[in-house]
Amino acid sequence: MKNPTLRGIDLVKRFGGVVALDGVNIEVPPRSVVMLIGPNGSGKTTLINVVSGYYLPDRGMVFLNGREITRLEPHERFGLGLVRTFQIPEPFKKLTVLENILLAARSHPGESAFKVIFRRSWRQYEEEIIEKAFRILELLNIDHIWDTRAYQLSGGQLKLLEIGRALMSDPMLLLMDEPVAGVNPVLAHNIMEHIVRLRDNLGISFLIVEHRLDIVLDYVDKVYAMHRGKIIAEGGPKRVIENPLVAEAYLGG
Amino acid sequence: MLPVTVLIDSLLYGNLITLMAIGLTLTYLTLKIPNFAHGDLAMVGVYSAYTVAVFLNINPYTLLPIAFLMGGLSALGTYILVYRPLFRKGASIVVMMVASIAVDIVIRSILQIYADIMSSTFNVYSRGFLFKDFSLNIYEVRLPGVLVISSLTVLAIIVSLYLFLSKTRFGIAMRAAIENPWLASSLGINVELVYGISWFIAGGITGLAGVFLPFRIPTNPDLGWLMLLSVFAASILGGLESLFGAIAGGYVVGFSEILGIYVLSSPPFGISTAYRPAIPFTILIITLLLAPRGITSVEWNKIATRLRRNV
Amino acid sequence: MFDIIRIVVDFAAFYAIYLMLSVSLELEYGETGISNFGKAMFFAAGAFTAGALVIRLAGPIAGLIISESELKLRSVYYSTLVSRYFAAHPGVALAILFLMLILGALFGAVLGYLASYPAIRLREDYLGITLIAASELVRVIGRNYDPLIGGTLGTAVPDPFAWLMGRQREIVVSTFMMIIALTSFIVTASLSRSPFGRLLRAVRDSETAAEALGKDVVKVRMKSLMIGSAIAGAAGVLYAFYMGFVHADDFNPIKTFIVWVMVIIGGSGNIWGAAIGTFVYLLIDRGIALVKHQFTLPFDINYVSYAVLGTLLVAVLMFRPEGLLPEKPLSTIPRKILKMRVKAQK
Repeated sequence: MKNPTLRGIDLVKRFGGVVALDGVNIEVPPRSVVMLIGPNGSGKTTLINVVSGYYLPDRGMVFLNGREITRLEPHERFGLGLVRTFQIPEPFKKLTVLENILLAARSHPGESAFKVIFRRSWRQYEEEIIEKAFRILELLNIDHIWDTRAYQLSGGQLKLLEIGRALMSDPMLLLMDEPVAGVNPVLAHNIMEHIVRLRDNLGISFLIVEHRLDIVLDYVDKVYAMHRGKIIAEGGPKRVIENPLVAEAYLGG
Repeated sequence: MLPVTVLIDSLLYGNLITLMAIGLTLTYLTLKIPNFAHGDLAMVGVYSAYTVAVFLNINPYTLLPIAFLMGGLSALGTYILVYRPLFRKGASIVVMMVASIAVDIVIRSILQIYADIMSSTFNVYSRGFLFKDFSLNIYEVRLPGVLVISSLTVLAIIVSLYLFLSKTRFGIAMRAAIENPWLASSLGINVELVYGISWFIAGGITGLAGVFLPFRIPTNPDLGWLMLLSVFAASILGGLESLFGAIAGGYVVGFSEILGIYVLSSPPFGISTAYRPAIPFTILIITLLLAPRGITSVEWNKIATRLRRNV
Repeated sequence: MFDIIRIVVDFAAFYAIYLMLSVSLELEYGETGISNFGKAMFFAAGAFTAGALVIRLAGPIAGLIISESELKLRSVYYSTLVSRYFAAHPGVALAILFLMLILGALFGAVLGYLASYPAIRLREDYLGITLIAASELVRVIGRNYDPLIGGTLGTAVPDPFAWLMGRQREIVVSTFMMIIALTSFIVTASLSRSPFGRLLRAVRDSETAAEALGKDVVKVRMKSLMIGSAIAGAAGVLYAFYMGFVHADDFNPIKTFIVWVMVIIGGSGNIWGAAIGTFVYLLIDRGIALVKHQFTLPFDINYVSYAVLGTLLVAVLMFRPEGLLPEKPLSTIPRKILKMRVKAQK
C-alpha cells in the first residue's frame, strides 16, 4: 500500500494546563486537498505548527511519505517538500514583493556564501526563477506591485504574497493556514481552482485550514473537523458538514 | 580561614551592586530595554554630593538626599528626552540600546568636562578622590561606617519599595502599568507618568549607591561605566524582571567578585587580582547562555525529563 | 599652518580602517539584524595577532634572538631592529604583512564562529550584553596576560614599509590600506546585492518565515558573523601596523560604539550609508582633533567631541532613523531589465 503524504499519529500538545491537541490522528493522501475545520481555539493552528515543526509535540509522531519527521527543524521539513503559510502573514517587510517570492525558490546556488562569488554559477537560475515568480504574480494578480516593499502592502495583498511564496517553493505537501480569509471572493475562487490544478497536474497535496466553507468546500476531497483538541468527524465534505457533532461544536463554541 | 575584611568588603560591594541593580531592573521593567547609561546615574549622584561636600565642607552622608534627587532627575530627564520619544515612535530594542549607549557617552563626557573644570578652575581634586569615613568597633571587629550606612540604606530601600509597591494605590497602579500597560491605560492609569516616576526612583536609588563608592574606591567619571557590567550581571542573574531577583543577584555578584578574586589570587591559584573584572563578565556570559531568564527561570523539571529520556 | 598632504594621508588611513569596520557591521546588523555590540573584540583579534606574532616571527628571520622574558620590556627595541631588517628586505616585510592580514582575518572569523553560538540563541538585547561582556573579557585578558601583547605595557609592531622613506612612505601606506578597504567594500557590496544578500535580509526581517522557506537561519547568521568578523580582524591588523603599537585598552566599548554611530548615521541596510557615515564621523572627529590646539579651554576638548557625537546620534535616531542614505531594494538583475519584462507582458 502506498504511504499517505502526511500522517500524524496520536499527537498531543499541552501549553501549561491547556491541552491544545489531545491525541489527534490525521492523514493526507497523495494528490488530495484536505481541509481542516473547527471553531476558534479548537487546535487547528497548533496542529499546523506541530506538523510544520514550529512546536514539538509532547507525544505522537509525524510522517511525511512514510518517513518520520517529528523532530526535524522547519527548514529541514521544507527540504523534504513540506511547506506552510501563516495565518497572520509573515512577509520579509523591507524586501519587495518579487524578492519575497524569489526567496521561496529551492536550493538557490546564489544563496551559498561561497558560490555567490561566481556570478555565472547562479545568474541563469536566478533568471529562470524570476520568470517563474512573475508567472505566479500574474496568476495572483499582483504583478503590478512586484517592486513594492512588503510593509506597504494591504492585508489582502499580504495574504496573496504568502500564497505566492508557497506556490514558488514546489512543495509536495502544502499546509495553508486560512489562505483565502480576507481575499475577495472572485480571487478566492481563482486561488482554489489553481490549487485543484496543482493537485491534478503536479500531484501536490494540500492541508488547508479555513473558515470560509462557502468558498472552499466545493474544491476539497476530504474534511477533518476538530473540537477541543480532538478530531470529531472526518470524511467527504458533505458527510462531515452534516454530522450533528460538527454543527454542535460550532454552535456550542 | 578568610580574613574578616574580605567578608566586610564583599558585603559592602554587594550592597553597592544591589542598589544599582534594583535601579537597573526598575527601568528595565518599564520599557524593556537594558539601559547602558545606568552606571552614569551613580556618578551624577556622587559628583553632586562631592561638589556640595567640598564647597560647604560637610559630611557626605548628609548629602544622600541630594544624590537621590540628582540621580533621579537625570534618569527622568533621559527618559523624557530620549527614551519616551523613541518608544512612542516604536523604535526597536537595538535602536533603544544604541540610544542608551549614546546617552552614556554624553553624560560621561559632561562629567569629565565638569571634573576638568573643577580641578582647573576651582583647584578641587576631582579624579580619584576618596571620602573620609568613621568606624564602629564591635567585639574587636572594626566595622567601617560605610558598611553600616549602606546596609541600612539597602534595608530601608527594600522595605520602602515593598511597602510602596504592595500597599499604596500608586504603587499598585505602577505594578499594573508594568505588568500590562495596555490594560492599565484602559483602566485610566497614566502609564507614561508611572514610567516617569519609576525612572526617577530608579535613578535616585542608583544616585545613592554613587555616594558610597568614594569611601572605598577612588572615584572618577568612568567608574559607573566600569561597574555597569557587574550590575548587569546581577540583574540578569535575577532574571532582569524581578526586583528581588536583582537583590539576590547583587549579593551573588558582590561576593563572587571580592571573595572570588581573593581565593583565586591566593595559593594554589595565584592569579593576578587585575583579572577581577573578568569574574562578572564570566558570570554574565554563562548566565545568558545557560539560563537567559535568570536563575529562578531554569526549568528543572524539563531538564530532568530530558535527562531521563536520554538515559 | 597645516600640512595638507599629511592630513589627507592620515585621514585616508583612518578612513580605510573604519570603513572596514563599518562595512562589517553593516553586513551583520544592517543586513542580517545581528546586534553585534562586540565589534571591538573582533577588531582586537586582528590587532592582537599582529602585536603578538610579527616580532616573534620576523625576529628569527632577521637573525635576532628574541628572549620571551625580555619581550615585554623591550618590544620597542626589538621592533626597531626588525623594522631595520624590513628596510633592507621589502619582500620579507610584505610577505609578513600579507600573512598577518590572512591570520588576522582567520582569527576574526574563528571568533565570529564562536560568537555565533549566542547569536543564534539569544534575543537582540541579551546578545548585545553578551557580546559587550565578551569584548571586555578579551580586553581584560589582553591587558593582563603579558605573553600576548605585553599586558599593561602594550607591544610595539615593526613597520612593514620601512623600506620607504618620508612622504613617499606615508602615501604608499595609506594607498595600500585604502586598496584593502575598498576590496572589502566591493566584496561586501556584491554579496549584498546577490541572492545571498537577499537571504541575509530575509533572516533579518522574519526568522519565522525564513525557516518556513527552508532557510537554515542558524547557518546564515553564523556566515554573516564570520564574514563580518574576518573583515574586522583584517582591519585590526592594518590598525596595528599603522599605529606601530598595540595596547589592549585601545579596544574598549567606545570603539564598538563609534562604528555603530557610523552605520546608523549613514543608514543601516545600505552599504553606501556605511561609507558616508564613516566619512561624516571622521570628518567631525578629525576636524575637532585638528582645531583643538587652537584653543585653550579649562577642559579637554575631546570630551566635547564625544558629547557632540552622542547627541548627534540620538538626534539621528529620533528624526531620521533611516540615516543619510536609507535602505533601497537591491536587485540581482538590473532593475531596467525587470521593468521591461513587466511592460512586455502588458
